[in-house]
Amino acid sequence: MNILDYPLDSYKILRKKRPLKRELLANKSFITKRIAILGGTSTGEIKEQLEIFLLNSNIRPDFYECEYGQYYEAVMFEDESLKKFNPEIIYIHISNENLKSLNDVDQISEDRAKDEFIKLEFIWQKLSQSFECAIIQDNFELPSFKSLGNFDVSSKSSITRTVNILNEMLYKQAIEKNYLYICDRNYLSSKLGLTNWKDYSLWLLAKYSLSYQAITNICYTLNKIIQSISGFSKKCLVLDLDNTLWGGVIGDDGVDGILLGKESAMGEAYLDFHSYVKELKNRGVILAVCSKNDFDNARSGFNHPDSILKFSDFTVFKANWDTKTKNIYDIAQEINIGLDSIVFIDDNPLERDIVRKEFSGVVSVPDIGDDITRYREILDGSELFNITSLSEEDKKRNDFYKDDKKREKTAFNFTDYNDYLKSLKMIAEIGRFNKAYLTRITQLTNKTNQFNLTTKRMTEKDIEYIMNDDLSISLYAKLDDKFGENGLVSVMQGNIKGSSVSIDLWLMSCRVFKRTLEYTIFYEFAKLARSKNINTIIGKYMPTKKNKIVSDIYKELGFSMVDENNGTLTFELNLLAYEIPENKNITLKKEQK
Amino acid sequence: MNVSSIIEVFNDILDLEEGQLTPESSPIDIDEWDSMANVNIIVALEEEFEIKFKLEDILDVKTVNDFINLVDSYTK
Repeated sequence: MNILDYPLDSYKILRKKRPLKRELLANKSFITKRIAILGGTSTGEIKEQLEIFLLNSNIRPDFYECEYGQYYEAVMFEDESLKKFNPEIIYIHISNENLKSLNDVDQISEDRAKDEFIKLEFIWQKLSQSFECAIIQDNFELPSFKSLGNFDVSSKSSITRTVNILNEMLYKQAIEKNYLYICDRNYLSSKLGLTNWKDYSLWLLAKYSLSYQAITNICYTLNKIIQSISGFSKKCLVLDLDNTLWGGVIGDDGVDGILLGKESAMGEAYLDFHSYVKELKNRGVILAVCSKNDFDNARSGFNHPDSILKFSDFTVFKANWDTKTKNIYDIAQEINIGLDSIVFIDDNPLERDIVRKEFSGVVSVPDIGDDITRYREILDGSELFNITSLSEEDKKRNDFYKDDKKREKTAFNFTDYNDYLKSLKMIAEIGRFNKAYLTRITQLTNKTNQFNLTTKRMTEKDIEYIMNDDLSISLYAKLDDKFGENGLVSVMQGNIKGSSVSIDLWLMSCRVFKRTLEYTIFYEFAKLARSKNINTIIGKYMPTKKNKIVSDIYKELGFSMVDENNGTLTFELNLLAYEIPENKNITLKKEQK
Repeated sequence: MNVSSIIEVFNDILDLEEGQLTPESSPIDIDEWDSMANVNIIVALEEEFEIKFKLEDILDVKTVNDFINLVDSYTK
């Protein structure tokens, strides 16, 4: 919904909160998340606004709020209702007002920070022992008032330094602890300015540590963090060309006539936008062009000597006279991602509107306006590509998809698909879950929608638990071929009960569809099960809007259906009578230790 | 100052139908008007009329009429 997009109008949202909620609840299908808010100050308004943003992202929250200010006590004394609630995500909303040692003039900043840190560390430890959950922790903003004045920044015993040291201690923990995420309140407060960030009357009246404007902004960011934890981040940036990536019209002005480069103020602004887009690409965002243009003209724009973006930076390049909606649809098909992974950037409000309406609530269309000096700020502030960790796979993603396109071209030369598969010289590495792949495996469970039998979302803690569980058979698969590496692309996990094993998790990245890797990983799974004296393999297919592609996989493998309950199909395979075949299209490589 | 735009703020925040609210209405008559909604009303009125209430002025405000008079005194 437009009103919930960046830049945010906090007042409008406050006024329309209730009808907005009704509207959102009526129109969508949701996944649910149990979210506990542990506040050191008031949290009521945060809960309400966060709910609106989450609903807009197709997440329906169940909330738990601790008693006012009781964040520490709720954890320390193991609050029963929190235990019962069993949160999937815990948000610890505390602020400078909760830091007892912050103003302790007798201590140097290092000691004050340490005092506070110990308390927080205790809370995280206790929570992570009690729950399989992600913890989102606020960091701290700079003080609004400094009795030491400017000297506070460099005094041995100061508030500013205490905040900075404490924050740095939090970040180190967030790097180490895969369940801990920081909500960067400190950044948001600088962005809005401390004078707008706090409302002292509101504090005295209702004990809110933030102004309402700040609450809206922090809820926007929180929603993005939760989206990212839930695997809802965007993957692909689709860009218009004329007056978006350069000033002017390439078809009229030619490569020498467009505005791009440091020679002019406008040209420099476009160049800065190039740099930002390139940064996104380097951290794993897929780039595509969607422009109403003659293909050769469009392409020539990137021959401009100052152009930072090159033609080869784009995984898909659509420059033609078709509608943008058709092109965006085709882009999604070609890269094999969902339309909901796409962000569309165009200076033309009409095009934006058409795309927004056609793919309502699916394709993200930031309102970047038509002023190049604001594109970067609005795209960045929208936090659409928010991630909570950066895996090696992310950085390589563009290459993966590029390799994919090479493969597709090769496929045209074969009439027999098996010949094509053989020609790829595929090598799979299949091994048990291990620590090095925790992040990637978790990411896959949260992102994979199509080839996913149960669509179970997992946290790193869940995966770690599985990894160490003797009654679990867990396998990952990596796939290489003559065009390159695909990385870790498939996961299969089953729980042993007596003489049977039930496959609870089976998914595969769309990157490697139709490569027969699913057979290889299943055969390896079956071998492992047999070595553990398992007689029966049980498989479940839980249908969603997106996973129809795997509805028949168990049948194909020789399972028989034994039950149908609420749409969930249960299959069984008698392992005693099953001869495990070999997939000749893929060579197996031994697990790397 | 416009009384109807004050009423509109109340209707939005409390999610009421037109006509449900009278100048005499107070938190006692309207279920949705709890302490949290009261803070929302204060913040919304400040935004709507681009004013900032003094803390002491908003502590004793009870009815819709009280709010109308208060806003009136700030926008004169």
